[in-house]
Amino acid sequence: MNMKKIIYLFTISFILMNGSSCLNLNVPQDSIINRTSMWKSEDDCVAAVYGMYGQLRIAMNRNYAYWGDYRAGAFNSSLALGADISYMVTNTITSSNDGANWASLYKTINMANLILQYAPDVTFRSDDTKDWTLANAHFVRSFAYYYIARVWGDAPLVVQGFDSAEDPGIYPEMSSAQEIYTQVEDDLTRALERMPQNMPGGKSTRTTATLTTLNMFKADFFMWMARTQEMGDYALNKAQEGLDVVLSDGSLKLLAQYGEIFDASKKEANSESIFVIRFSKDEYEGGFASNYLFTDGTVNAADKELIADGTLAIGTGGGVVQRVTYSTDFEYFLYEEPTDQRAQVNYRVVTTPAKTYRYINKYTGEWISGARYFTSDIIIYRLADAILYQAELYNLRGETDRAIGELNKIAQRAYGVANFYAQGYTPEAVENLILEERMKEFASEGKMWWDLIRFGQVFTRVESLKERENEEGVLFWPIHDEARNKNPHIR
Amino acid sequence: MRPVIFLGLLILLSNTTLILAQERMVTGQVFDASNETMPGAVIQVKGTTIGTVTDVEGRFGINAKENSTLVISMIGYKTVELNIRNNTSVTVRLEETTIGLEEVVVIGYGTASKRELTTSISTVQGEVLQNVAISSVGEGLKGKMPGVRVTSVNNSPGSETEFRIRGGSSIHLTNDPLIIVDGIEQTMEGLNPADIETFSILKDAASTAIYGARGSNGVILITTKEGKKGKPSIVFEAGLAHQQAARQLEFLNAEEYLGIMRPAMQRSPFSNRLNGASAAGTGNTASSIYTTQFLAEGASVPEGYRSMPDPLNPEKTLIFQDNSFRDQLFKETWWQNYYLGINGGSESSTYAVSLGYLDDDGIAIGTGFQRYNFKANTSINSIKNLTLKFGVNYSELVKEEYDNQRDVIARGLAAPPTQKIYMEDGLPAPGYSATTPNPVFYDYYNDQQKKTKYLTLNGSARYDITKSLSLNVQGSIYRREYDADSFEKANKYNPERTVSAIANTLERNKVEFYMAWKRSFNKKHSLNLMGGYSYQDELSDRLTVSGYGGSTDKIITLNGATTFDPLSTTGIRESFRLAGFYGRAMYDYKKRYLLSLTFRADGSSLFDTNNQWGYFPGMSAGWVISDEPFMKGLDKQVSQLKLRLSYGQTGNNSISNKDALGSYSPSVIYDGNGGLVPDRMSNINLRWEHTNQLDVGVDLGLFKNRITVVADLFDRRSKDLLFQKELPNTSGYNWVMSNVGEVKFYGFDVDVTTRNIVRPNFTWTSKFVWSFVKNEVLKLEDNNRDRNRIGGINGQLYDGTPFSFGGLAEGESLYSFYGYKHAGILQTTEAADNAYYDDLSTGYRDGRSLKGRKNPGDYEWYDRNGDGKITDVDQFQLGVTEPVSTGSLNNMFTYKDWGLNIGIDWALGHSIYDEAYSRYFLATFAYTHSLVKDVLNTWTPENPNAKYARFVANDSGDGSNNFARMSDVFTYKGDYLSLREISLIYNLKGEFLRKANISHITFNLTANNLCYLTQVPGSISPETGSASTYSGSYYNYPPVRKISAGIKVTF
Repeated sequence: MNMKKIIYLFTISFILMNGSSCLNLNVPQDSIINRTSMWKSEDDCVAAVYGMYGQLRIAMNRNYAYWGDYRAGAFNSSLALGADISYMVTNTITSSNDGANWASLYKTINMANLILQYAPDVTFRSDDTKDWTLANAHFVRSFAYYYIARVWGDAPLVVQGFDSAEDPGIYPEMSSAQEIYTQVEDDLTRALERMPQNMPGGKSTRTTATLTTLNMFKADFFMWMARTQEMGDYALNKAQEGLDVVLSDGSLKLLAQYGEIFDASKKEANSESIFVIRFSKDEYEGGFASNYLFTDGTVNAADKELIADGTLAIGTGGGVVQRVTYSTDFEYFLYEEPTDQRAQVNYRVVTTPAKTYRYINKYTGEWISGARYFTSDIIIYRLADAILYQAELYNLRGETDRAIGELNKIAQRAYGVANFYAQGYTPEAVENLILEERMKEFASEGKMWWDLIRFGQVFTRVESLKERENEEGVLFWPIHDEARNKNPHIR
Repeated sequence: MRPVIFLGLLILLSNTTLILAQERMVTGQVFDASNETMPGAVIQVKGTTIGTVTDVEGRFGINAKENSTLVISMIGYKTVELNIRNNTSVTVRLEETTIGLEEVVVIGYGTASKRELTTSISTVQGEVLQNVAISSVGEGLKGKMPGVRVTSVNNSPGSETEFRIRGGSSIHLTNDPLIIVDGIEQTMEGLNPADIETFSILKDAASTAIYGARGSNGVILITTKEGKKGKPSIVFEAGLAHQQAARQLEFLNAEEYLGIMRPAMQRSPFSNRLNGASAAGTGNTASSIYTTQFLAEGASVPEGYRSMPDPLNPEKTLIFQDNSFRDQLFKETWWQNYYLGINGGSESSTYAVSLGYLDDDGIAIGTGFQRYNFKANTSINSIKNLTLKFGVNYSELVKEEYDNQRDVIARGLAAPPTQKIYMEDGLPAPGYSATTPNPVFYDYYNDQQKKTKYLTLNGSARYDITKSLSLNVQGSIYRREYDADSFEKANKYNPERTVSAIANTLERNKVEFYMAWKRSFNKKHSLNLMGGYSYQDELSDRLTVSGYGGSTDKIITLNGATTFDPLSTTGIRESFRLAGFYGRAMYDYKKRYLLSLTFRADGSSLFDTNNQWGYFPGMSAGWVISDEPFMKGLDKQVSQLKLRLSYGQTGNNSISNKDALGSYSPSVIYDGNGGLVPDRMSNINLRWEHTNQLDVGVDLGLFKNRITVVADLFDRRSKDLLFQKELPNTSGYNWVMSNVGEVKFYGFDVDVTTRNIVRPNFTWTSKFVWSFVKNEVLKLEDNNRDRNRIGGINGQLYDGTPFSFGGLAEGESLYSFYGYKHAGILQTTEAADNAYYDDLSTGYRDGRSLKGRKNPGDYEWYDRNGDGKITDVDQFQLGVTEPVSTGSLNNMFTYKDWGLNIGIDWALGHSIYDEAYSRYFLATFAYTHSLVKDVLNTWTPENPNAKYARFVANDSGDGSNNFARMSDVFTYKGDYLSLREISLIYNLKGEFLRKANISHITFNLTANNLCYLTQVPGSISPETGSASTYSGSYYNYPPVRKISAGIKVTF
């Protein structure tokens, strides 16, 4: 071989090996959606809506009980004195408490903001789907800020989506609770304007927002505004508008068996639920209810068959030890009426010769071949809620008899008797009856704390809050250390 | 020295009595290169046992036949073979072997003699990995590479070691050096230590700039063994080691445990647990995992149980088992290693082929490692001016290790002594929870295996166009396949029979093309040019499938599963491309004044279009002062003196391909619908991280290079640091990758090699290596905080002035961690009532808890901000996790056929917050956690001067967090000195071996990791600093001590 040949060989092989791509550094990526490929189609936007609900589910997974239940005085924690939940049940929450962190809600809000920012410019195959997309984004943002304003009071108000380091406004200032409530109302209004009458094909009517959901939320929000933010008749009228829509929705019916509302294996047949956050096996399993059940180690050997026949619900063998129970007082309260079919659902009490077992019996999911799956949806709104709101609203307007009428719809299912409550109570008495029925109807459903505040009875009924009315911000949660440490504007 | 020579003479003379009569006396004299006579050189007649040594004037006389060959040898010099023909008098000149400053060094894309080097490059010969019981290359390099800290972050068998050259260069990105084996970027994991010829460690920017974008953390170039011309030489090696944990924790036994737990439970808010089914409670039954019970009236103590009076009521008798879970977890086991290699060649081709097998049983239950290696290197020179080389390396690594060492080791050891190892049905007892298993239970129910296969194919061609110009083409294919299978038998915690399989592949294809030109002019100037192009494509494919619901434990693969879990089943493909142009010019004048310039331009697909290319120049200069005429008179003392200066720029690009353009993740399913969520925030302005490094060095050889010193001072500054900039938690993200600020690493490294005694039969050489590196954050992005701090804690002084600490801040060093500082123990109730309010104290006393209240026996903490309260702002810097100074001293002795190596190494300046150890004081997990012996030294009214605060059942929940908070109580200086290696070697030679065609046999007896001198307690290794030894990513596997015996036969 002579030298020339060899040089040619080198050169040719060199070129072959490199081809023409030698300076092309834009390598296609097969597994990533990035800012250049996102927000191009209807599918991207619809997937973003489900992603947003996925984030909302993470935000509510444990916090729903933290924010709505554990401070309400009915709970005991067997957890060590220093644990997060033990601080909640005693209303001594610190700024390092898990529940004080709002990050998951703002993550949900960011997703809503991004949808509201990008989806309007995307071409959809169907206008209804576009409306559905935007209405859901408005709803979720509104719902998340509703929680933020109630949990923390003043907080940052972020209405711009972030997906790039150059985005302005990444370090927001604090806004007043007032401003946040205004945003909630504004988003709710837009969601109502935008939400199509008929759901676009294939879109669920329970796990994402519908017109009924939005109206139920409207009722909930304005009842809160009327009674805690001094918005008076304006708000009550708005609440009534919402209730009118919900109560005329023919697809909604109270289930005869109270227990069936929470049966995770019959979710689809639940005609009482209005809006739920979906939990499902192999999709996402629930969080807080694992604190309610004890382990098989707690069950006496003689009582083991009670697990098999479904009398006793336990967590998966050796899982988390039962951490949260009701106080004895609240147990008596739930069992005060012997005919109340809700009592054993709210708080299972099983006495055997060996032992008495007690546990909160909601959201316990399914028991499948020896393993517990926490697949219960979090029921945010159900028909009973609308009915009791109607009772409350009537009573606030002085229509005591109509209030009792609504209340009796709930009482009838609970006690199996029509007209359980007679007419002729004073408005104050009816007010108390409604609150107490709500406490029984929605025990451990993330509502009691808000009800106590709305009825103005939180300082009288919650033992650990007695004589603490003057403590600044005592009904709010502290702002988490992480929020303060990562943004100098948060005080 | 005299007795040694005398002894040698005596032995040799006794041999000469056997010589035959027809031989005649040959006399001679031995000189060194500078014509000095050489006493003590060994003269031997080849093929016989006849020998002698030279006298003080280098003279010798020996009887030898005509035409026989004399072998003249001396340690430190090249052995000379001389045919005496019919001469009766000879003169021999011995040349020094090329150790020290004359050796040839592998630099990027070429070689250079150490003398010509102007950059900071150290070399280590593959021989340091010989005759020691090591499972990985890194393990054998500890303390042996100047300027490189080699640490076993994880001692689990088969784990890779961590390399840090001069401390690293980055805050957030990897600080791992680039490792290039025979031209291919890869890890050392697939290599058999016995196949390695040399390591070259490129430390300064001028040497690493030729690797541009990946050079910031230094480069380690590894050359594997190639064939040598000559008769085939076959090597067989075998090694066997006995191994055990080098350090262990000391736990309370059952009596001690119950003696301290039961009174503590009595004082606790949950004293009803005394009657419950728990570690120290008496409500246990046959179905409980704990054994403690009261002895029933009239009953006898069951077999396997012990008894003691109940400390709360001595009239009652407690019965219980006394088990050691430590002894269940850690065993004494074996390690073995085999190697077979053949090496040889002719004028036209050479070859080196080897096979290796290693088996490490692992000292912890359910861990182990096996490695299979095959390697072949060939070189073909049969075509004129053309050299072709082909190499294959295949290795297979099988690992059994814990996915989470914290759970199996730190929490496995949380099992109290009264817990059962086995239940009555003979199956292992579960532990406190799924993530706190009894180690035997874990081992029984978990079946997992991880297999990594490496395949490297490389070929290169070098064509010498002229004597001074050559063309080189190099292509390589590198494959890594990782397969991990796991199966969990149905058990109490997980009845689902979870099974998963992971298959990851990495494909890296690379081609390089470069030309080199070398020329000398007038014997004064020499110029050396090199320029080329490199292109690398990388594809990684990751597949994970996970299922459950199988009906039997007998099928442990995926086909047994009935349901597949969409959330844990993923497949991801990622591509990455790097292209580079490089060049280097080296010039010297009379080999005395040296100059070198380097340049590389690298383009990476990881950045957005406008920021893909980075440019990395380097320059270095050297001055060989010892060659100057004015040094002539000193050449006896100063044999070499060279000054070096270098400066250059390198880069670091190890970001992910999500960082520049952001990403949305498809990982959400909501109500059966696929959802997208933002996953990574984009930053299209991301640029290369650049590191500028200045290096000033000196190479010094004294007394004929009996002492050689290589010392370097360096200052390394990284700019545009690629950093996960923390974002407010209202942004929807935790961080965004950004170019933020500047950090400096500075220090020196020194390498001193001495040949203390060099005698024919006895030598003693030493190698001392010392490195010192500190760091400082110079600049961060303006963020209106004190020192532009990122992260950390904001607080207020008592007067309202804001202050902050922690995280990263200008003028502070990296790797700090923070915690509370204790200020003594509160001795009385009065003192406790006057103590600071303490946010973490539950203040349980007299049946009531009062947050913030203190009790006697509690620690008082320092109040940093003076507000009279102990809150999270009252924390102080407790230490840093990286050592400042590291070093080693290796001493090598040879006496005739014996050799002895003793190696020690140390590191100073790092700290360890041993949170795992603190947890053995907490009695947490519902009062069932095991306790260490030190708990006996906790405060009680009777023991007011105890080392530790009072002991409380569940200190972290029901107590005052005396032990459970991050504090100086369990923070230890990580300073250590390790007796790393002692090896005794014996070379067996002789006629009887030759008859069996054996050239020689080497025996070795070695001890590794004999002991650590350190104040760090317990079983963890002091080598790695840590802000928490209880974090899920910390490795608790104890360091392993090995005592081994090995044999190496060369045919």
